[in-house]
This record gives sequence, structure tokens and C-alpha cells, in this order.
Amino acid sequence: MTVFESARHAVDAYSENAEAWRPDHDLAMACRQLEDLLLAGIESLREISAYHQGWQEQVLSGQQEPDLAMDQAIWDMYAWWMRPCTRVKKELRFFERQGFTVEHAAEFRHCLENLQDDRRGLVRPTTPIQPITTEHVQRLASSSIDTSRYDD
Amino acid sequence: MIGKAALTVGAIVYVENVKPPQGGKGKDRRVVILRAPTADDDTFTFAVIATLRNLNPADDEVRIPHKPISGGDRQTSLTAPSVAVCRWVQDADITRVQSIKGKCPSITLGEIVRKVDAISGSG
Repeated sequence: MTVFESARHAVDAYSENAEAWRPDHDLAMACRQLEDLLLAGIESLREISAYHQGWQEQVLSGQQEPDLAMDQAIWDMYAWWMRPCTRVKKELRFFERQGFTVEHAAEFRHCLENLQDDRRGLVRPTTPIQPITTEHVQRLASSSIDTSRYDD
Repeated sequence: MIGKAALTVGAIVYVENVKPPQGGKGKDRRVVILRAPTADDDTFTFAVIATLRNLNPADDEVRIPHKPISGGDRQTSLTAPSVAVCRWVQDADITRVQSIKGKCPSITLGEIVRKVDAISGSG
């Protein structure tokens, strides 16, 4: 199994389990199950992020050919990861209101907020990432920029 | 001096004496690395990071996540709303790097690289 397939498998498993998950009549047991689900979510997101970072580094250093299909597949994995999150957050709030301290809750929320921040205003890629070269720099060298906008 | 190994694509670093494209006085600035130095090449390419002045980024800017708390965003270390200026792209020697501040999220880095590519006319 390739690293990409492993990451996709982890996300698929998390996403499907999250969507199929139903609270048990035994609240304490259900809370434990939710904790397991949160941990699976955190770990699967780490897998996607690690794969994405490695892929981009390889493409941008010229070790891999640009590949829009792969860029889009990675984007879709993030989207797939986020799909059940509204419901998971709702269940999380339910257990916290019942007085449970839910393990992994803070880290899960942190992961979700970060991912939402990272994707804010962005859309699914329509062009592949390409290595930045000295030609790019030369072409932009004469750019007209109002640097007063950027006097921090 | 900061070692080459730390100057990876997506790293957010402080670089000394970054000049405006039209020339003029340089200033130490936070930047994001778009092309890393290699074993044979001590230069790298970066895009300047600046504070977002308006509500939304301009067409040639990409927002970089921040957190308005002490220490900033866990990954980027940015405390104020910030953007990568995709038209302000330059090369620098690794000796100009003063410190490493953080890392740009992969999703954001991909958007910056695409925008630089598109603006420079090859995208």
C-alpha cells in the first residue's frame, strides 16, 4: 500500500465511522467511542497533511512531475475529512454538556479550526503546482508594487 | 548562520534587507520560501509576507493563517492578519536569513505557488 493509499484509507475509515456512528444507550461507553473517533480523525488528518507536505516538497524541488489529479485528490481528502465534522462537533458538545471531559476534544477542535483557516477563501485547484524557478523571479522583477501598502 | 536543511519550501523566515522590486531602501521582512536551497546552490526564492491592510486580500495576495494571541498561530507564528504578496518574489542567499519563524500550511503554500506561477505569466 502506498503512503497516499494509506492516508486515503485512514480518512475513509474515519469519515465512514463518523457518519455511521450512533450514541450508545450507555453514555459513558458512547463517550469512549467518541474519543476513539476523535483520535482517528486527528491521526488521519495528520496522515493527509504529512503526505501533502511531502508531495509538494517533491514537486517543488523537481523530484516529481506536477500532477493536477493528485493535487485535486489531496484537496478532496481534506474535504472528505471535514464532511462529518459538524455532526462530530455537535456530539462533542452534547457529551460536554452532560459533564463528560472528552479526551482529544481540544486537539480535534484545533485540527478542525486550523483546516478551516487554511482553506478559507480557497477553491479546489484547477492548475497543478509547478516548481518556482529563476525565470519566475526574473519575470516578476519589474513588477509594479505599491510597497507603502506593506510598510508594517 | 541558519543551516540549509532548515530552509525548506514553505518555511517562514526573516530575511534581511528585502528591497522593493522597483529598487529603493531595503527592510528586514518575513517571507515564505518557494524554492529551497540545494547542495549546489546557496540561494532560495521567497515571496514577501505583509500585514493584511484591507478586509480581503488583493488579487495578487494569499492570506496566511494567524492567531491574535501571544506566540501567534502554532504553525505560522503570525499574530496579525497576513498575506503572501505573490508579485513580490525574489532570490536571496542563505546568509541573509536571520531566523526561522514557522511553516506555511501546505494548502496555503500550494495557493501561493499557483498564484506566483499565474501572475508571472507561465500559468
